[in-house]
Amino acid sequence: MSGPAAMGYRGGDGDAVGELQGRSLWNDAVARFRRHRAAMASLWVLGVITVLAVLVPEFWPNSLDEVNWDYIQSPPTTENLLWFGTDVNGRDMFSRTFYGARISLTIGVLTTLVALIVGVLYGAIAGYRGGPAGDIMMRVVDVLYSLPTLFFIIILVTIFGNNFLLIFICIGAVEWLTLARIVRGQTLSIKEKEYVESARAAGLSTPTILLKYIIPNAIGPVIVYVTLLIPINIIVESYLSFLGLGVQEPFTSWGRLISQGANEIGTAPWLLVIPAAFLVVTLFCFNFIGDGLRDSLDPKEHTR
Amino acid sequence: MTAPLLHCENLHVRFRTQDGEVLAVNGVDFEVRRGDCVGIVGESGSGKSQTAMALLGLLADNGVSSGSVRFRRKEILNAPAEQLNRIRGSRVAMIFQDPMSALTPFMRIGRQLCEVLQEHTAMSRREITARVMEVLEIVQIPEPKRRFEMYPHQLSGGQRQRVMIAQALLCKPDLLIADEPTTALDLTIQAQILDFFKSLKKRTTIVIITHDLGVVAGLCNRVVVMYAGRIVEQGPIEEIFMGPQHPYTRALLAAVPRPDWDPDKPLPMIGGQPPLATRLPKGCSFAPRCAHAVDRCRQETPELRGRQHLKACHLDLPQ
Amino acid sequence: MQDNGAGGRADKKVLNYALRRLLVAIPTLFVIITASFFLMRVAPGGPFDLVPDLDPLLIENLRKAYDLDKPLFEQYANYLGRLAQGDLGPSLVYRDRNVAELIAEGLPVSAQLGLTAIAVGLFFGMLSGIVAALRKNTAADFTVMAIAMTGVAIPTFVTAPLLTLFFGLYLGWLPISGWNGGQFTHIVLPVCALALPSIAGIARITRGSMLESLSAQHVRTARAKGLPESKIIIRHVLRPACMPVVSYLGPAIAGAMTGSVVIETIFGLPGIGRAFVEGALNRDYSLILGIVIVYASLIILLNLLADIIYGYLDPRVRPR
Repeated sequence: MSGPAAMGYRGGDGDAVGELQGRSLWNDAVARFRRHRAAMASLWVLGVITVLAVLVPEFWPNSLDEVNWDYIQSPPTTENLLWFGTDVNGRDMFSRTFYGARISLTIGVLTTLVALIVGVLYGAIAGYRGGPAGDIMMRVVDVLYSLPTLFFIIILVTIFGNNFLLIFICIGAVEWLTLARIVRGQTLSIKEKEYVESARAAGLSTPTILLKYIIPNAIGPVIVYVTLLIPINIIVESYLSFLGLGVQEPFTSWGRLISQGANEIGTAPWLLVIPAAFLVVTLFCFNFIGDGLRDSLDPKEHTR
Repeated sequence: MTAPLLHCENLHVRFRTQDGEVLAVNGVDFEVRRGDCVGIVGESGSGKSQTAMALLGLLADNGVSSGSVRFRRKEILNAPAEQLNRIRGSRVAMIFQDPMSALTPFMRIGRQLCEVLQEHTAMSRREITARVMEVLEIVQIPEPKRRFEMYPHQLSGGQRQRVMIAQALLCKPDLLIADEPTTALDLTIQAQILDFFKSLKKRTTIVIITHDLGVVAGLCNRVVVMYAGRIVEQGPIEEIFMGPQHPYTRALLAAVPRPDWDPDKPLPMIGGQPPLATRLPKGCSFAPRCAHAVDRCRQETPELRGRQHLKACHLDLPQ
Repeated sequence: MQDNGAGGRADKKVLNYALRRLLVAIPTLFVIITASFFLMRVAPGGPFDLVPDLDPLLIENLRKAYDLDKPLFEQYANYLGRLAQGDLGPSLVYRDRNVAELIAEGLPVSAQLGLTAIAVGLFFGMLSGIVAALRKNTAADFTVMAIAMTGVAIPTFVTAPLLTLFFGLYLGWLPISGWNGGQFTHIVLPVCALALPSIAGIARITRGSMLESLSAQHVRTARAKGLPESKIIIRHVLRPACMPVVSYLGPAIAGAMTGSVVIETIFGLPGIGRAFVEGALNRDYSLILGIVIVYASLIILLNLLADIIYGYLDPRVRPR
């Protein structure tokens, strides 16, 4: 954000930045990230949620679809390990919340992976190719960009049915646009560098140059954006599930739990508040980690 | 003897940055008398621009200044904004380095000029327009009526700088501070603007800040040479140019290309880099680059001493 | 380049520019219509599959009645022909209703909701962003930024039920659902829930651009002119600080549209967002297609409007 104009008026007209240290950039980035307290805490919190999402559905005594007839819509209690209470069907919310975590996190990561592959390849090819072909490729991105992606996803989901696998292909197929832009921008500057010139002069093929030289060097901003894309995709999945277009029974996700909670909001607020709290905490964690990564990978940016 | 127009005493400027505190100006004393044209010379990072900014309270918001600056005997350093605003733009005017970014890009030229007079005078709208037109004529802008309605990006670099100068002259200031007024311009335009400054000397007192000794040579009657936040030498122009006493001034002068310079020979350069403001060396800041430095230079910071011609150096170099 | 401030000529230029942009937008819209149309027609399954045990003969008749038995390109040509006359075809699910009618019923509700939310977002977002920037690194700044961070991170479908829970049920101040002809008390909660992400986003952007604008060189010139701080901010700082906000309007509008789908569903408002979701759940392709066309046109128009405002704010990008 801070352009050269802003820097010029910030004090001290001498650049008071010390000489470059001998340490590698990567070590520097890791050290800076460790100092970022919010990001480190977020990493821990996310780790705990992930471990619970893996273990609870497997080993928790109350399974996610078992009906407890004595505890229909029970508020959180220590009895019978119903720590998060039960839903309208008397199903254990603790188990369901972490099963939801499993689905939401999985979809978040997998969709991002799809978007990553599509976006990075598309952006790298458009940038490396350049010329009219590259321009047309980016015009397509611009047109798609100006439309609300969620409507596309809704149309795709409507057309192809709400199959778990298809949902994340649909989300991933739409959310790659920003990545393509980032990678194209990086590629445009990297392809002018000497080492790419020399690789081209050495007769390496275009795919080799793309995979070995261009993409690895464009990876910094991509990593940052990926940590921000995962929460976006978790929201998208939750949004679809909230509207009834996403994950279907007996499976569940945070969005679906929130939707069910919203229906019982007058009688059983914990059904809304607990999954909503987990979703929000997770979103915050990813955002903090993204901030931390941005600060540590590119310290020049973000001085404010 | 009358009091000087501007008196600057023990001025310090610090910036709080992420890399710690930066001492940009480290105890600067000088004075400007009515009718003077003073040149403050130094490399970038020597603190010359920040000195000028501090005078009028224009430092960036992470900057702090201390010491004393008296304008017509009144203390103005760190004065409240209302008091400064009575002086700024009317009694003391300022010209900045890059006229493109120093003019507000989305405001018509006329409006940017008129608002100065609206602020500082009780003139009517018509009188204001007439005065602005008059000053645009003085700074030799072609077709002032058309320029009046234009935006800065529609003017050439030289015209923009003339607009900046017009803006400074509107209220007939007692003192004009120009911060590298020609640096951002093409060479031919530089010469034109410089010529114009010469004609300005009759109208007002000028402090001109520059890294270019050539600018000072044709214009000023006094020179202040700064290095690493301190004044290393100051005095009347002839004495500085004919008999420089500080090794840094000598090196600077030697680095100016002269008409008799043999293009086959390398241009003399000052070896090394100026010190970082975060890590000033002990003793004289110039000692690490100085060919004449002795042990004392690396231990003791030299004071600025002398009457008319002052220098901050332990050594007495032969002429 | 235009130079004299002759208002009439400048207006004409803006008009020309707008017309040119609209001409460019037509192919975009055409591509969207075509792509959506074919995607839906080649999709496996249709609206009639959702009803179990439907007589195959009946399905055959229904397909005939809705033109679905014709070759694909003929369907497409027919659709475009009717579209040119403003006819979006019959709804596949709501008997005897056509899509244009359904949209005409829902659009005023969605427009009122969406535009109010954008206006609220702009006002409170810019106000808090400006305050935060002018009081940088104070408690006010940190509070605004913490709330903004929360508002950006938490999705609408979480805030809306929570707001309902608190203000509607716990405090009992506001009705929790229904439109009631757009009565004030009924739109407060939906508008707040919908505006919250815009407020947060706009506050962050405004703060950033204010800080950048405040540190611009020309602001120092304005200080050197001896202008008081209030005039400096109003004349020399605010305008460039608004420009990133105007650029953000496009995404904000798109966000409000997607948000309105959830909001209308949660609060039971009869807008096109809810119609869209119902269309998606019932596979009412002609309704979905119609609403997509409306949304796409709206976005193109509103983005154009944002561009024109942007040109007004910054003379350097004004159309020649």
